[in-house]
Amino acid sequence: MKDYLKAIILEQIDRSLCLKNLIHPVKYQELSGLAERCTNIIDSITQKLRSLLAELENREEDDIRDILRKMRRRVREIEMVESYGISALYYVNDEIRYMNNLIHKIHNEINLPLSRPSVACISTRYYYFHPFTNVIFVPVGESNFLLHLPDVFHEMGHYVLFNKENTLRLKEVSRRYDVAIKKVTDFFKDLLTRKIRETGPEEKPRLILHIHSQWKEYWINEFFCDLFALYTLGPAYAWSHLHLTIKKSEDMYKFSEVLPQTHPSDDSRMRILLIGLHKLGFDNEANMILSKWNSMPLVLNTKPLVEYQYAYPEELMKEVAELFLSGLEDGNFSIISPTHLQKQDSDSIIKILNEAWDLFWNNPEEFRNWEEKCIEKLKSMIQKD
Amino acid sequence: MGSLGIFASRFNVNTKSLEAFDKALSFLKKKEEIERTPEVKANVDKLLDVLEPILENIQGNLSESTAVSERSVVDIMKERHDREWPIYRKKLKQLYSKLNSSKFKLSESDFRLLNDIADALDVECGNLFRRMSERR
Repeated sequence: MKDYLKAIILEQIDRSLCLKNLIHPVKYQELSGLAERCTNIIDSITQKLRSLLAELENREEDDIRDILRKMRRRVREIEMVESYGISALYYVNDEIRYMNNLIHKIHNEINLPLSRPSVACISTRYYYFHPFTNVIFVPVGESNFLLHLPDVFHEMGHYVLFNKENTLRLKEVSRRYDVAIKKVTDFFKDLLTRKIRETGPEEKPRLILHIHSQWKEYWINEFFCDLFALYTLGPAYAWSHLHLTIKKSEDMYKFSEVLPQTHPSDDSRMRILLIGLHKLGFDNEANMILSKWNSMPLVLNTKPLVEYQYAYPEELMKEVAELFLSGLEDGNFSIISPTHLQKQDSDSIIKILNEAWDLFWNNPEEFRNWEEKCIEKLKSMIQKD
Repeated sequence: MGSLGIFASRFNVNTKSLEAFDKALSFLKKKEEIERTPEVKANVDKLLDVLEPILENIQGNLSESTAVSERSVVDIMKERHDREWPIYRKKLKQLYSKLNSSKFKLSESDFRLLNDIADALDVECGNLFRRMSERR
């Protein structure tokens, strides 16, 4: 087994070196940050694999369980840098310049205390952020539209979360996040104690354990990113959530008593966004969004499961929304308000994305013309910068 | 965010904890009788970061820790030690108490148990990695 492990490690070193060879030449200077990141990751993997070889030499045949685990970790890392880093450098077109510069501008507007993430327009799975390579993946045609661009702000929220423990300016975000986890745990501990005392079905405590685990593992992060997008961008993010829901949602109140669910329900996400909008002072916008939301057939004709009532307690969501807002304020992010939005320059991306939504509702027939012209202007402006 | 990013984040958190756990394991393997020096404490804490939420889950309690996906890790361990689960559970509790005492010696079976935990966590990392790559 030792010899076999050694052969695998050598094979993986070769693969890493081959991948490194694919990084250069970098086709667009906007991607040089990503190229450097990928180079560093590969160098670190190669070095760790070489140390593993040395460690393996001194081990007995029956003492290699940890070596196997370490080797498997490196294999996964190689696959990740290949899929979510090198591919973004390899499959590029001119749009990548616009999207990366656009992210740069947003990065400055919201005062993000981290290096600029990269963007790749090769996603086949809507928007997502990969924390290993710091790349935001967006669908290939996305650079020609504005209404779903607010989702980029949500992905930046994941970038913030991912770095909250290793960035000084994110200290308060990190602290509030921990407090939020504690609040969530205390809330469900209390509920669990009450349900155990009551003479009810035995499934209830199991259900509460399940809901708590969903919050802690997934939902709290999604709520943070939704609120991050809302607090830095404003109503445009809530509109884009409504837009995505009506196009794609299968069930507004999606809930399983046993199966893991990575995202909170669309209903709960809209509820927390409305809480956030009121906190920011966008009361009119919140009322307009709620009225549109409530008139959607998806809302009118569906009722949640009885157990759904335990999943998203209003009181807890309000506390979480407040904690995240104060964390971001203390982290010196540029938080939006009606006055702040009004004062933005006409070329501010934040202003443009909110205007896009106003125009979409007020003059839908003219919207596409306006959107095309606006993107054309943005592209020439951003690429000049 | 698509599910991919969510699984990537969880994968990353669990992998970091496993990495720290493995480092601590290597460190303690070289020790005979273990006294709680600051260096030992730091390494034992890395083991406890993983072990504590697992034990909380086994006892039916809610844990605040986000270091590992303890529910899944416990499920993996249960599957692997189905027949001896009550005894296995007891052993985990004993190991936890031992790691919390001021002076202790880790036996071969303790190391086996620690490697079992690390293996279960590695399986969970593998599961998250696979889900990350799935088209959903």
